[in-house]
Amino acid sequence: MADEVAPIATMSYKICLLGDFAVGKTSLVRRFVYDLFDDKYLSTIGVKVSRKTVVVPREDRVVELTLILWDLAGSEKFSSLQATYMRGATGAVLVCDMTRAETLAHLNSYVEDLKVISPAAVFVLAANKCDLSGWELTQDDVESFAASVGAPCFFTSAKSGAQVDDLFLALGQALVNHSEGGAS
Amino acid sequence: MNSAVANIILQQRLLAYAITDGQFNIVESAGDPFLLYGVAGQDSRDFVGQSLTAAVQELVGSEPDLKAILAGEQENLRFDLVNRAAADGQMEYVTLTVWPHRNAAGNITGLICLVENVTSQGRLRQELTQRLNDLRLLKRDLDRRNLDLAAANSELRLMSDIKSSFVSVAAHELRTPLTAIYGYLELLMDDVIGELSPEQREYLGTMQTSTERMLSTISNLLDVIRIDSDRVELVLQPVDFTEVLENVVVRFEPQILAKQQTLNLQVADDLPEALCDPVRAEQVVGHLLSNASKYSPPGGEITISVDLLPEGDYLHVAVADAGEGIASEDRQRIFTRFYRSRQATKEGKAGVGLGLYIVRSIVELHGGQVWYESEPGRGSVFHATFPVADTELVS
Repeated sequence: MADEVAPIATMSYKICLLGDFAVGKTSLVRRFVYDLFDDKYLSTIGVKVSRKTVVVPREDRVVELTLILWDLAGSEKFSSLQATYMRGATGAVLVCDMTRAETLAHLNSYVEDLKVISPAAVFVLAANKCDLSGWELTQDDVESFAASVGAPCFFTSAKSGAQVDDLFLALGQALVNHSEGGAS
Repeated sequence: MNSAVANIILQQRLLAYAITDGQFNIVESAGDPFLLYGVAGQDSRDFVGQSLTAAVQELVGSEPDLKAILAGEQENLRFDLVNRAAADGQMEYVTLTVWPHRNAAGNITGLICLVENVTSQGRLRQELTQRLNDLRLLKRDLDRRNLDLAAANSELRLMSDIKSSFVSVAAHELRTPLTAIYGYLELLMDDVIGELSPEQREYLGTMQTSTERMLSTISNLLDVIRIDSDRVELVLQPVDFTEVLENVVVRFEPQILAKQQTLNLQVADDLPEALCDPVRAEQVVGHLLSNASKYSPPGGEITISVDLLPEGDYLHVAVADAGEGIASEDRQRIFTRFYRSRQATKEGKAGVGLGLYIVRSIVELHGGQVWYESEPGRGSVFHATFPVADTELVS
């Protein structure tokens, strides 16, 4: 049995999932938190908050992070309601659908909106529904957009679970790196 | 508030609340903990002593707002339509609001976190959003398919144009020499270069008939191309339909006489003029009469009748033959391009199946209709209508 390393810190972070409707935000959270998937599309209204604790390395120790995941209703129009939901977010998962090209283009406005509310927010990008055929986006499209907003990108499938854990762990790691010297 | 009223509100799960001290620790809590904390199977009082931000996960990240409320710098903090997923999968919705809690002196001593159960409105809104989003996805899918279809259609149209151009050029190239051949055959048959022997006349007669058929087929092909590419232009004018009939009868008299058929003309009295292109109207009646003669047996009777429809706005032309009638399997396609009935194919009747298509197209271009009646063994009647000329409008 491996020696357990006691965490040097326990932190909670508010994370928003941003993206158009039906890109799979709820499914990504469901896969990550409960390891479940349902093919049926159920539109989210308002906000659904879930939490999951992950452990990420920091120097030679580990940090225990509780990710408070805010799954927001997809909407192309920014509203004061969404601004309220986004306040206090330290990070965001940007989600697009590989089979709908416009969902990547729309992410730019989500990034801009969150940067106004939380200028220091950390981003990761989930190019979701990778298991489906009929991609309208290429890997290059996604990677160059991700680079433009400074977000690592992951080609995910909430259905198969591909890269879902990697996505959230990378976000956790980025948050820890980002807060080094600050939070503890 | 009356305590009985308060109990009903809490028991009916309309509201739940928590009150904190100045350090955000819960000092009092009541109502369904599922609504407030998202946790089932516990009592609200179990949360007393816990930090509000630890117990209510929606408040993580909102610490600056909570401090501002406590300091009296912010009125409240509100989250609408917070989702609460029950164990059975059913979704409930609450509005979560944090207010300052004041003592009797009006000083802020802590916070009140209040949740209001808005599940019925939430479910209604979810249903509407669901339908809207489903429709948006469906519309997107349809738009995409339409684009694909438009692209495919454009390609097909291009191919069809190429085909039409080819047929048109070929037909024109064939018609010119054929017209010359036909002209010289007529000269020969008129004994212009000397009297023909009976055998020569018979051979030349066969050549003339075949040439006529070829010219007719080419003419029909060119008409179909014009129809399909919307290039048929009608020269509409008030037309005495009896003149149309007379011209057609003169043209087809030899064919009818050759089969010893009888042609009856029944023209109603006081017929108004039709508003039509006389050349095209003759083409319509000519095709119908040609078919009637072709499918009627030698010695058969053909009747062309023209009258006014009861409403008085259309002339009605009917051509009745003495043929075998139209088989049921031919009825759906009889007015389509290049369709030849089984009888025509079996009996080797001349033609390529364009006549009735041209008839229908021309009549419909005039705003009229075509149809037929047929009974096996009792012949067929083909009907066509042409609009009556409105003399006031035409003048």
